[in-house]
Amino acid sequence: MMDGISILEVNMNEIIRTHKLTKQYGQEHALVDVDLVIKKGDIFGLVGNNGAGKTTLLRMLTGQSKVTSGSIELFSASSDDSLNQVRKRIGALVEAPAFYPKMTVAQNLEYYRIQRGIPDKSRIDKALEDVNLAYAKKKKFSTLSLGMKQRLALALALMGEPELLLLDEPINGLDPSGILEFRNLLVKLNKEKHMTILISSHLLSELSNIATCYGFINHGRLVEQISAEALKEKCAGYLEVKVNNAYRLTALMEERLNYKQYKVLPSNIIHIYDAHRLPEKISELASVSNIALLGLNEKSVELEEYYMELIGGHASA
Amino acid sequence: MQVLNYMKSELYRNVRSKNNYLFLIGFVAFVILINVSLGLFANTQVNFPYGTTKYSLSSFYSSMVIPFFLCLTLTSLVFGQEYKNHTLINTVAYGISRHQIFLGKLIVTMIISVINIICISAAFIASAYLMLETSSPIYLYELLYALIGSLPLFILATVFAYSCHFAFDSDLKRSSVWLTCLVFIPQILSLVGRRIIAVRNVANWMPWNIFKNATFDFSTQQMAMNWSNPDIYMRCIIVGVLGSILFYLFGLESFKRKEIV
Repeated sequence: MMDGISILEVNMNEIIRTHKLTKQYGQEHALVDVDLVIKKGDIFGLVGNNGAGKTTLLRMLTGQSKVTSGSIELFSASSDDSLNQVRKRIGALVEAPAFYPKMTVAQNLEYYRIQRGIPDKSRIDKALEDVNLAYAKKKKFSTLSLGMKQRLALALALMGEPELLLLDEPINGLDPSGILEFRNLLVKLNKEKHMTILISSHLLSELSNIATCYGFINHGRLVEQISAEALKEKCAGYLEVKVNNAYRLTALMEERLNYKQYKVLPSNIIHIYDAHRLPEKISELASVSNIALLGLNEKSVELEEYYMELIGGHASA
Repeated sequence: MQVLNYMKSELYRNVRSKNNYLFLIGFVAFVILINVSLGLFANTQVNFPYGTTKYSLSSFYSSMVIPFFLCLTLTSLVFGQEYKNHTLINTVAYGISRHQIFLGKLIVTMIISVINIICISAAFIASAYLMLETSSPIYLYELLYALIGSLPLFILATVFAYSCHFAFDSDLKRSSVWLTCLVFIPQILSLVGRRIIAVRNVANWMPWNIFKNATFDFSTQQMAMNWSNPDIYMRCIIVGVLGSILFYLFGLESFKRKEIV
């Protein structure tokens, strides 16, 4: 049982916690019972198809959208007023970059600098330099390209030197070099300033180089939350076995070899994920049990494959 | 503190908005043009009866519905197409509460509206005195009395227009609701009130009818507007204050329930 101090430490370490978070638009559920925990220093990749509920979740975290049921805790604050207070420690880029089109880049940032009570004017230049947009500070927002608009939105999110960064599909519109710079910037912020980052994307590959933790979301449900290490382990591979009687072999496997992590697929195919799996043991077991071994192959799983299997499994469940 | 910062940022934005200046310059030019035209006619036509400050100022005095309509345009300018540009996202995401946003922007709207009304009225009065034959100062006093008397009703109209901006996404819907509530319904009630006294009593408390109802004073040969009567002057204040509170709450509640996209 935890004592008071360690409970406090655990809570202090949690930047975001949602409990059975649900969002309903009329009869339609956009988010269902989402229990999410993001810890200090994480780069959390929220992965899901378009329309899976990523933006809805971020919109609720930023207060743009009201909670239908369930609760949100940010920096351990949960009441409406205290949530508004702690949101000042957050930088957010949710949906498309939104600024006043007739004002320049610098004027737009100045407007928000005044609004946020940031005394130091030089923060504007610093934020623009961080996102490589200093050269465009006198350009009107309406004349910027999509990539430049994304950079400006990121500059706004960084201007307040936040402890938590919420980014919704931030790579949209960036060119390849921009994506690389952007990734490096996020890693730098995470390493140097210990910034916690929640970044959503519909492409797992975009996040695979930087995320330390993943959340997979599908049809409004958080299907799995997993650390990057655990995911790597899961994607390490599996042994594919094809026999004439899969159910008998799996029963024997459990009984004699103590292999518990496996999946039986149609056509008598078995995928064995157990870390201690040995092909020769399976071969021997099949032989002594008079089970015809039709195929035995060690296979690896790509991240995308794992994800597709995960959401496909959920969809069929 | 947060409201103050929000107000400062809104003032910063509005000071840089070209549309605000175009609106103000346009109306100042328009009212000056009226008096310049009257002055030119008075100089070129013999026995032209309208080349006096009496006529010009009285016309303004009896046309208070015109500034009433300006409230709709002015609030639209200050609102800055927040929903179309989606700019409220950044403010809400930073944790500025919806009440603070609503209150802060309303105060800025009021400041800018008062500046506009003062500038337009001052331009009208100054151009009248410069271009036209000076009549008795009583007409100036009447105009100033009318402006001050109708101020609570202008505030009500501004608060309602402002609330409609927060409550509805489309300009058409905002204007339609504003016009229906503040113009069409009072007019209908006023017509029905010709036959039903109870309805007339209600209609007489509506801002539009307070502006429009006037009697002709045969002794002075002038239109006597509603706020010449101290009781109705008081009615303007009561209607203005209660209506503003009611519409403020309507706008705030609508905004609190709104999904910011």
